[in-house]
Amino acid sequence: MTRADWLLLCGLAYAVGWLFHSLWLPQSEATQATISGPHQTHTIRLDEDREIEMMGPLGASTITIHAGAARFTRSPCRHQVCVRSGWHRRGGAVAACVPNRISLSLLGANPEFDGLSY
Amino acid sequence: MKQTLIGLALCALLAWGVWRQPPATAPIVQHREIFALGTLVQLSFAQSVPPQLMPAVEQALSRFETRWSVHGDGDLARLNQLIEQQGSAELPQSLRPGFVIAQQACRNSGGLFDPGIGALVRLWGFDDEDHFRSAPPAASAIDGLLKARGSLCTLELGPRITPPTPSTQFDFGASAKGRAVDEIVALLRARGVHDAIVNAGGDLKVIGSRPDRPWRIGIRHPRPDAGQEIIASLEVHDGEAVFSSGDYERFFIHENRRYHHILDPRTGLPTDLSQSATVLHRSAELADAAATALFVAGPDDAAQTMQDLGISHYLLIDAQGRQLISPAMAQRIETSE
Repeated sequence: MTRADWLLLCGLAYAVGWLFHSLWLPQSEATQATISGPHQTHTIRLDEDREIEMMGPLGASTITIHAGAARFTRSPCRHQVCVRSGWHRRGGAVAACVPNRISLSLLGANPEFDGLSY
Repeated sequence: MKQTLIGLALCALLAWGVWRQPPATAPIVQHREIFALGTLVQLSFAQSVPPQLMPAVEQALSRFETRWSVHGDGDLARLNQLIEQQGSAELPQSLRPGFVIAQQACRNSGGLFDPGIGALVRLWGFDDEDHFRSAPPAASAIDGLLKARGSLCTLELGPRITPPTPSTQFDFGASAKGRAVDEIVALLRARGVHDAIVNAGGDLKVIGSRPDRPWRIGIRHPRPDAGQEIIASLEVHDGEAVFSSGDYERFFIHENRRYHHILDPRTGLPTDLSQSATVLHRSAELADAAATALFVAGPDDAAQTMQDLGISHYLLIDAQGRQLISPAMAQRIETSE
């Protein structure tokens, strides 16, 4: 075999491995997020960067979607527990601004974890 | 010829992989969420959800919250008011079992878990969102309450309770959530639920399993922005609870120092020995109390405190971020590092 044959074989083997990982293995990363408030619920894809404002009894909470992850970036509550919980990217992850009654739940086809302890 | 066949076979496999789509399947687990107990309670079901179940759960949580809240006119709030006004109060039957279990945990932990610090929790402003502070209270105020408070460890739990001083106030914030989770799990079982998780803001108990595997739980890193979201994971089986206490949720920063909500009953100050503590046990109520005691104990006293509480499965992240894992827990968890 020539060097070009070996390169082609290695490339194809890599492509098959990549396909196996990305298409066939269970994906623990979330693909969607559900944002729920007292008046409405949105389910959005995580592959488009955006900011969403959701109104609660204290005012507007802002959820940011970036690079397949989601987080509370602003919220009118005093403890800021939701903002401090940081970025979430795994299916099954949950964050909430309890005083403002806004929740963020990440959905995945096959989440690695059924719940998180924290 | 041989190389051509290998190449063609790989090309065919590649094309098949591109065009093949995984079969669409219905989610195995359904989730329901309720705001209660000062957090988001998530119920996950690996089965159909019985009709009228969620309203019953909401009512049970609402009744529980009223009973154990330090605010309003529920049983615990009234008890605290009577102690403050009259120095003693009748212990309602609705509270007695929780007092008894908490007292046992208080004694077994050497007072590291003690619901008798209610006045200190209020002074620090961790009892309610509206009381949240941005600076610590004066040292003299903390010392005054420390000297004046009574401990649940030494309280005689007769028909009436008489703490040593009327300024003693009880706050079950470190065990009531566990008791609530135990009660909701019992309610679910009584209504025919056989595969579910009750997760109250990161503290959970499981029933049964998923159809394809046991329930799998991740333990979140206490400093997730450090680049690691999950510090460990474990499979949790029917009737087991996993509870964590940490310094990362309710806290404020004052002059570059973090003041969090887990107070050391001996000093009246937030303990600075730990970042997070996780306990696995069949009683959610005991797991809740033990996680607090473990957090306050810190790495040096962790093993003895957990032994005295009858806890064999625990994980402590100390103030420097080092992991202390009990031998029994090490058999159960997979760490991410």
